[in-house]
Amino acid sequence: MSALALERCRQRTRLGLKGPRAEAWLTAQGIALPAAPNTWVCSEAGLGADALLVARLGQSEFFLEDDAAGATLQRLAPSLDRHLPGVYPVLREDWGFNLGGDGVHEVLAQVCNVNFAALPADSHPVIMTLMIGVAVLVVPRARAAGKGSASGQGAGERRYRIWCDPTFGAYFAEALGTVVNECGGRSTGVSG
Amino acid sequence: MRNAVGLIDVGTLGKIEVYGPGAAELLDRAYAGRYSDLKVGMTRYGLMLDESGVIIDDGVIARLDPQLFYFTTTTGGSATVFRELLRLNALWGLDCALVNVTGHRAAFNFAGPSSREILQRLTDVELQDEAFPYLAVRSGRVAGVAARLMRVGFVGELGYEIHVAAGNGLEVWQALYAAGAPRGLRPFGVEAQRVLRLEKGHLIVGQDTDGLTDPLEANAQWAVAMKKPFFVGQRSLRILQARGPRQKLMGIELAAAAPLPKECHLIIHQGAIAGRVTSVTHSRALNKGIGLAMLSPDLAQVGRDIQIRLDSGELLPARVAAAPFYDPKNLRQKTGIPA
Repeated sequence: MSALALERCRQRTRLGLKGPRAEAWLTAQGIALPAAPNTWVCSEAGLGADALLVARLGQSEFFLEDDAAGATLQRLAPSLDRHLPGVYPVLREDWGFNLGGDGVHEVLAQVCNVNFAALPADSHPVIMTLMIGVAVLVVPRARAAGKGSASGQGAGERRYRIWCDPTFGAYFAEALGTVVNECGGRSTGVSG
Repeated sequence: MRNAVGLIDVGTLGKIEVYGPGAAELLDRAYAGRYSDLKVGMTRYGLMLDESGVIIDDGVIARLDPQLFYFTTTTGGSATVFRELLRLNALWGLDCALVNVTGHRAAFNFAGPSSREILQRLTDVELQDEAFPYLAVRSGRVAGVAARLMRVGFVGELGYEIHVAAGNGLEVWQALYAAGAPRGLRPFGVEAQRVLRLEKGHLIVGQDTDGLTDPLEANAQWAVAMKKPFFVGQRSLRILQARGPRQKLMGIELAAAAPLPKECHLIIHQGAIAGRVTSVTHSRALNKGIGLAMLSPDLAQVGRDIQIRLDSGELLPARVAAAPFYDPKNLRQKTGIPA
C-alpha cells in the first residue's frame, strides 16, 4: 500500500449540466454518459490525470471534470453560451481533492457516516453525502497493482476523489488534512 | 466613492439560478414582485415574504434568457432562501429547477462617477446608457474573464455589479483596482457601504425590518404586485392592508452637532414608546446625522419633530425626513455624473 495522503486536485476544469435535454445534447457531442444516476464513467481506466470524468447526479444532471487544458469542455463552451433550450450549464468551481493510501478508510470513518470500505468500486458509484458537515461528491476508485505510481501500489488499492462547494473549501481542506495527519498521513497543497 | 470610484466585495450575497419553462412562474409566486413580464437583459428588485406577509429577504432578479433567471439574496439568507425555493418548487410541481451558485461566483460592486469610464477599458460590454441602461444586465468579459454585469447597486452612484467565477475573483479584483487606482479608486467595506446606503434610504432586511415587518410598514409597496393571481404572503397582505400599518419606516435627521443615538434607541412621545431607531449614522456628504426609524403612524409625517431617548435618559430632538436623503431623484445612479 502507498502512504496515506490528501492532495488538492487543482489542475482540472469542471462543468455542470442540467435540464431535460442535457443527456441528449451530451450524447450528440460524443460524450459517453453513465446509464444510471449516481454513477460515473471515465474516458481512461484508472481515472488518470488526462481523463474526462462524467458523473451522473440525477436523471437530468451531470458533472464533468476535464484535464487542465480542458479540451473537451472548451469544445462544448461555445454552444452552451447560446442558451440551448433544455440544456443549462452550471458553473462548478468546486474544490477537488485526492485521498488515498494506507488507512484511508480510518480517515473516512472519522469524518463521514458512509461506510466507504464496503462500497463496490467496480460499480462506479457517486456518493453525495456530508463530510465534516460539508456537502461533498465522492468517487471511489480502485487502482490496479503497480499502475499509475512511481512508488508502486498494492492490488486494488482504494483511492477517492472528493469535491466540495468552494465556500467550504478552505475549512474542508484544513479539517480533513488534520485528520489525515493524525492518522499518520500527509496533506499537501490543500490550502488556499 | 461619491467623487471618483469605489470597489467592494459583495461575493457573500446569495446567488441562485432558476431555469426552465416554469422559472418565471416560480419567481412570480415566491416573490412579491412580478417577473413574468421582465424583459430579457433587465433586472428587478425582489422582495420575499413569508405566509404572514412579513419581509424575510430581498435581492435583485435578472432575466438572462426567457427561461433563465439569475438572482441574489441577502448574505445571511442565501441558504434559507434556496431551501425554501426548493421546497416551494417541489410543492407546486413547476417545470423548472434551481441551482445555488453562491460559492461558485465572486461578485464586486464597482461604483462611482468614474466607474463607467474605467470599466469600459476592461470590458467588451458596451457601457453607454443606450446599450446598457440603468437596471440592465449584460454578459461579456471583464479583464478577459467571463462575467455578468448588472447596472444596480446599493450605494446610489453610477455602478456595476460584476459577477465572475470564484476562481477568477482575485484577478478581476486586481485588474479593477489597477485600472482605478490612478483615478482615485478606494476599496470600501461594509461599514462605508452602510453609510452610503443609508444616505439613499435603502433598508436592510433584518436590521430595518424585524420578524413582524410587512412591506406596507417598510414603505416597500412599490415592490409588491398585488394584482398577481398569487404570491406567498399575498392573502395576509390583503388583511394587513385593510387593517392599516401599526408602524411606518421613516427617515429621520438630526442637527449637525447633535450626538448620534444608537440603533434600537426608542422614540418617546407623550411619555410612551412610539417607535425605535433602526439605523443611524453621521453622513459626511450631508453633514448631519441621518437614520431610519420605525414610528407609530401618527408620528410618521415628514417634518414632524420627534424625541429619541438616549442611554443617559436624555431626550434628543430629531425630525422625520423624506428619504432618500442624498440625490433624491436618483440621477447619479440613473444617468451618471462626470467626476
